[in-house]
Formats: sequence, C-alpha cells, structure tokens
Amino acid sequence: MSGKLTALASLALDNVVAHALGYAASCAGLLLTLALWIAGTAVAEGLRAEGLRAADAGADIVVSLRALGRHAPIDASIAEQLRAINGVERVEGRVSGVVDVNGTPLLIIGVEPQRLASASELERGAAPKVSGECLVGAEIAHELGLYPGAHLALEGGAMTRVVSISGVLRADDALAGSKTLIMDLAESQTLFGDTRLTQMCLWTRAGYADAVARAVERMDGRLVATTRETTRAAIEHAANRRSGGLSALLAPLLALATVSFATLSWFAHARRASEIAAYKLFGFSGGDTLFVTVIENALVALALGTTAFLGAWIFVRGFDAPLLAAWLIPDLDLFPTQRIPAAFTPLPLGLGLALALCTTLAGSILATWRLSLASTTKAFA
Amino acid sequence: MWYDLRKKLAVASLAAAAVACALILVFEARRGSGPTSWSRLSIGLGIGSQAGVGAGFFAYDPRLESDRDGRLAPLPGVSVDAGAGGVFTLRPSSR
Repeated sequence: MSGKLTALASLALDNVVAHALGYAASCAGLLLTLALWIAGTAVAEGLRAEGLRAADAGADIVVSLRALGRHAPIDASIAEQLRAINGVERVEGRVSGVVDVNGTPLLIIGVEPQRLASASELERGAAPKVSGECLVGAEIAHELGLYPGAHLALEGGAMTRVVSISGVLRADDALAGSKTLIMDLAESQTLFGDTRLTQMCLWTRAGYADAVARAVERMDGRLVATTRETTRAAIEHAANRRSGGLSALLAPLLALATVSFATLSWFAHARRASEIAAYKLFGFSGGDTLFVTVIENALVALALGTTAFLGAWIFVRGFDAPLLAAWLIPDLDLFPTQRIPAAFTPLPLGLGLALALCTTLAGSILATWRLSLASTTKAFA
Repeated sequence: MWYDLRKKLAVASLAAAAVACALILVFEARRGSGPTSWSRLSIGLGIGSQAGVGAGFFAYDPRLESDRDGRLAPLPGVSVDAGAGGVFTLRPSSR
C-alpha cells in the first residue's frame, strides 16, 4: 500500500516538474498577495509586541489633565496629593513637548534623572550622568548628525538651551523613540519655561491600580487616570484593527488570485485531460487521480508558502517594508529609513501554507474530479 | 537525464526553502523580545492619556504627538494650541 502511495507521490512530483512554468505563471498573483499578507501581519504583530512591552515596562497608572475638552499640563504640586492616596508607592512626573530644530520637529521627553541614568543597551555612548546630558533616538541622530559628545541648541520657548548628547538609542530600539530626545525632567521644564508637567506616572501596590485610578478621578473631575490594563487593551484593539483592516483589504485580492489560478489552469485543460485518461488506462482509480492532484497541489503550496514567507521576510527586514509600513504606521514615509518592528512567528507561515493549499486545491480539484469521471476516448479525441 | 536533474533540483529547492524558513523562525525567536531601552525608560507610549493611547501609540512622529494634544488638529504637522499665541503652528503643547 505504501509502495503505491510513494509511486503516486513521485508521479505528482513529476507533474509539478513537468508543469513548473505553468504553475509559476498561474501562482504569481497568489504569491504576491500571500507575501504582502505575511509581511503586513508580521509588522502588525511586531507593533503589538512593542506596544505591550512598553506598557509593561511603564507606570501602573498614567494621570493626565483635561481642560476645556483637551489635553492640558498638570501642576507639579499635585504629586503630593497623589502620593497620599492609599496604595500609591511611587509618583513620577513626565514632560512631553515638541521643539523645532532646523525645520525638523523633535519630540522632547523629560523624565526623572534616576530613570534616565538607568538607560542601557545603547547604540553609542552612555546613559546621562549629569543634568544637561540627554539621549537621542537613532533616526533623529542620523537626520541631525548627532553623536555622543555633540552639542545641540534647542529653542524651547523663552530661552535657548544647549544640551549635550551622551548616548544614542539603538536603531532596533522601539520605533516610538526613534525621533525623540530624552532629557532630565527639570531640564525640560527649564527648556519650555514651564514648571508644569504633561503627565504623572503612578506605581501602585499589587491589586490597587483600579482603586487608585478611581480615587484619582474622584479627586479632580478633570484628571484622567489610565491604568496599564486599559493601555494594553487599547494597544490590542489598535493592532487588531490594523491587521484586520489589512486582511480585509487583501481578501478580495486573494479571491482574485484564486480565480486567476483556476483560469490559467484551464489553459492546460486539454493536456490534463490526456494525462488523466492515460492514468485510467494504466488502471488508476478516481481516488488515485485525486490523490495525485492533492499531493501535486501540496507541493505547489509548499513552494508558494515558503517563497512568500522568505519574500516577506526580505521585504521587511532587508528593505523596511516600503509602501506597506506607511499604511500600518501613521505618517511614516513611503520608503522608510528606520527599522520597522516585525514579528515573524510560525503562525503566519502556517496560515500562508494553508491558504496556498486551499487556493490551489479550490482552483483544480473540481476540474480533476470531473476529468477523472469523463470517458477516456473523449480525452484522446 | 535532464529531466531527472530537474526533478532533483525541484526537491532540493523545496527542501532549501523549508530549511530557510525554519532557520528564519529560529533566528527571529532568538532575536529576543525583552524590553527595549525606550520601554525601560517607561516612556514607550509617548503619551498615556486616554486620548493618546490606541491609535496614538503607533505614531512615532513628533508632529502627531503634538496633534494628539490638540484634539482639533486637522492635519499632521499642525498643532492647534490656543495658548501658544499662534494657531496652526507647530508648538509644544506644554507652552
């Protein structure tokens, strides 16, 4: 029995080799769609993983202020009231603002000095040790020609501050930091000429986050407390929306590719009919013919799925997903120069192989079945 | 003979592609997914308000950070900050 199956599988391989060019032509559209889908899924999953890592490494609660229906700075004196809430272990302020450097918008993040000093795994340089030293994202360092030891003049408001670059974040660090300058909190307040803060970050005792968030919002109706769980849920929602949107966009393309595969396969219909008729003359049953077709399609799907996966990997890791990444990340250039986060896991490869098999089978199994039932003499007529 | 060679080549190509995929998966898994320097600084979200979280996280451009602060911002690169003294200019929201 196994000898027969091996012989049938070998025959299927013969067929794939004999019709290699035909298969290549009919699978081209499918290959492109699959590669795009795998690349898009990998980027969306990479963004999701990066967001969740950032949320996990961040504060338990982020407190911001809404005034006149929009985001507003918080008075630093609120820190004492927040510390007094039962369950709060630590409170840190944070400043985020934008300055213009030679026409390039630069995001300034001000954090507590001890947090800044704990930065590690930098591309170049070291963590800031004294006030006036800062870290800079890889992309903005490249754009502005910054390096450890370089000085940069920042026009923040009423005054100009000259800061020293102590380190550059790695190019494969989180995308959100690639265009950012991170400095001491007090230094950023001086730069903007404002003693207020953009957010307050709270760390709480285990299990207290929700209660503390409610207490913060009761304290002042204008305060908005976002817990880590809310942040994680929002990141999951945004990632699902983006990858779902991409899949919905590519679904009609996949359907078109299936139709294209079936249509192009039809051109080889006459030759296929002769082949199947010859099998029947050699004593093949209908089941044997269908088995050969399934193996043939499985081999084609394996080639298709693995090639699409390799192509997607090169497209994302080698070329930073031009055109596609801009659809997934707001305001990114069509041809990005920064590293694009991506996660290539076995799931997209497995799904790619399954999709390829389903598509090729859908395009050929019905025709093969009908031919296997047709009269042998008709096929050679 | 030529046909046999093509058949062997096809099998070798399929095997090579499968091995390459497996190697990529191993490489990607070993690449590491620990917190980055940026997330260790606990500022990975850039902005943690309910308005900013979600779609906001995926923005990396400082101009969008500015836009999120001003909910009326109609275009990337335009910040509506009434307190800045110049509407439709790129200004830090904390000013």
